[in-house]
Amino acid sequence: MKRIAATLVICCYLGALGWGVFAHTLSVGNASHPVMYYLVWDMFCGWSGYETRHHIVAEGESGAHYLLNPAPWGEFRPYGSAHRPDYDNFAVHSVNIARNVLARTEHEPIQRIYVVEENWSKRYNRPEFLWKLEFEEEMQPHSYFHVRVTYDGDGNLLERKHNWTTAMYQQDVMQDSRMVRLRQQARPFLAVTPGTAQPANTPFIPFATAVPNNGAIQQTAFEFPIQQ
Amino acid sequence: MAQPLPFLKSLNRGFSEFFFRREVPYGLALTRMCLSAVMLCDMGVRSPRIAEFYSADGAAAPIALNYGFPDLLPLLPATWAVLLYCIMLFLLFTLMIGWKSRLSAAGVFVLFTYFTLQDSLSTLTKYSVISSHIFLLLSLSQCGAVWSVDRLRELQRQRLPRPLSWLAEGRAVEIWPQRLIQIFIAVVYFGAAITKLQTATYFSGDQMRFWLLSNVNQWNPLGEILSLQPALLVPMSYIAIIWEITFLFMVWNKGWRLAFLGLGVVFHCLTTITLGLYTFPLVCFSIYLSYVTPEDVAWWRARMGRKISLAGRLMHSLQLPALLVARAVPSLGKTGSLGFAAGLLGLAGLGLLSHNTFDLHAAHNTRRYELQPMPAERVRELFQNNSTIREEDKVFSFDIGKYMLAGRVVETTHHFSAGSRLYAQVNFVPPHGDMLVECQIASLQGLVYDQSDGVATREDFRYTFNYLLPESLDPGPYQLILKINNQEISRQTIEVTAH
Repeated sequence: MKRIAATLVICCYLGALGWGVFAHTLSVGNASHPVMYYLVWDMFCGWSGYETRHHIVAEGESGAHYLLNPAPWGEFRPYGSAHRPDYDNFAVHSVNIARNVLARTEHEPIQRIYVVEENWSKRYNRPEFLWKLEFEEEMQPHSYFHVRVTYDGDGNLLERKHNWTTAMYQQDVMQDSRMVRLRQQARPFLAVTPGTAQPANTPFIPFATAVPNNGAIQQTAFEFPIQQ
Repeated sequence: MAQPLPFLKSLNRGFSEFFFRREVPYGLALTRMCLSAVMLCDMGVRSPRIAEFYSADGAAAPIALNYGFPDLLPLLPATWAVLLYCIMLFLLFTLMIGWKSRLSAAGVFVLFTYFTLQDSLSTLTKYSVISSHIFLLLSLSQCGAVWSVDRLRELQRQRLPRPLSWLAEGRAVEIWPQRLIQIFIAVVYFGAAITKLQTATYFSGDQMRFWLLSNVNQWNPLGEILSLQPALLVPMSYIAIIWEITFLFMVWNKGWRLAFLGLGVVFHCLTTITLGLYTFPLVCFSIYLSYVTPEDVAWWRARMGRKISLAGRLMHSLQLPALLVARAVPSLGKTGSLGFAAGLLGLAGLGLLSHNTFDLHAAHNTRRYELQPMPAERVRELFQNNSTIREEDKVFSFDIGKYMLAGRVVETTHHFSAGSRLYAQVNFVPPHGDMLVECQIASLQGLVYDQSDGVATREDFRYTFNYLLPESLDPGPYQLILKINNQEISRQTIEVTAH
């Protein structure tokens, strides 16, 4: 009896592991339930060319803005130099962090809460001495800011956008004149803005943007200098 | 009555031999001790933040919300969260020393999984998921059958005169939970390999290069240096994926086991120094210990017994503190279930007291923090909503070299002889849109000798200009000038010598 029970456990466990591999390989139900996070081994599922940090900002009635992270009692750095809110890749949980900080601090009435992304190219993550090996130019780091999510003062969702890199990718595509024309022809007339009536805790996972690799190599013919 | 087919009989015999052989679970005990110690540290550093990360009174971040199941698990009030978290820490300790091992493992599995699920931002990662699996399997096993307080108590109950000398004498048990742990880690590697197979840019080294320069993990100075040589990343990527796929099939072979585990150790050590992953390798090493067999232990004892080498003598000297600990630990066991319960409740009470006294989260403090308005300049900066990327930010590197490996320029020199091959490769940072890429060869005085251009589409990760320098080219310094969308981005100076 004990042997049968053990055999059943072995079969069930191996079956679950096998299902995880199958679901992941063929993308069948691989994100259907939180349990799948325990069966799908998608480490290294994508790394951006930009480093991202999150700023949670509250706007008061007076128009003054308050930075809610790092929290006044200090922020936790779980895996490195980045703070806890910086790991909110889907910007789903930042509103809870904002609510928590607002509930424990003195402030004027709050009208808006914003989750602002800061992005900078990872080329600037090189230390100075490595930069000098790679480039003859001086390093001039630059950050790009992007309001990702907007909530009202109670934390109800007002507007949600893609992350900055996805937004930039889509913008590039959409700026194509042919796409603009097609989009104008295809756009329906909407009386309301979709998404504004969503409850605050509605999960929203934007689609990841796949960027295929296609390294072009161009043959060039050397030309003698043109006398100017 | 029909006899079963010989094939089925042999399969059954193989299955039984593989899963139900009885042996002393040294490997399981090592995994139990090491993984518990690692997780005790990992969860211990989060203990001042229990109310904030894991309770309904803080800012929990349940993973279930990401999957669209906001009410999957209830969030507890802060007091209960603190109590249960402290109980979990106590159980991790008792699991480490093997005191009521099964009960501890079951308790750790339930509480550890619960708490990690409630904080997807700073607690739940794949290494915590892997740990949950192992705690589950440990709770099904008799992991306290050797090197544990439970085993020492067992020997004491048998009134053996010197139980400490039997510290290493375990009880043989069925090894199927140990086998499942071994299979589990192999499946994790297999699944990770599938992820890489589905990621085209993994094989070109592009994603790895960006990962090496990520600052979301710990300090990784070697990674930053390695990002200068992307050509090296390509063979390393292939070796890693081949190892991950074959691990599941080869680690059972006695001859290959050590090689594959050794490669695993090298692989994970590299992730520490190049990617800044610290806890993940320790979790994996703990699981590798489950591959230790009684034969390995016997070999080690024989080696220790001979004390022939310096390393052997050193290891032997390390036994002294281990023996002292071993002498102290059984006294815990003597207290029995009452002592276990008292320790558990004592730590929980202590945790509650310290939570109320030194509360970082300020939930119980009478003093409230006051938010300070941000400077207007900073507000303007944050709300810029940038939608145009600077041309120079689209360029990751501009590499000049003589050779190419796996489509990447190997940058070894800036000295070229006339008549030799020169590759100028520009690597991009996605997203970048379609671009006009231009490369000029000019003298230091600005006289342009050659101008080549082409279009890099939005999918491209790099664009390579392939030059054959003419033999008649005058020796001297020249500059390669990179332009993107007609804007100069970078210059690289090269020295051309006579043919």
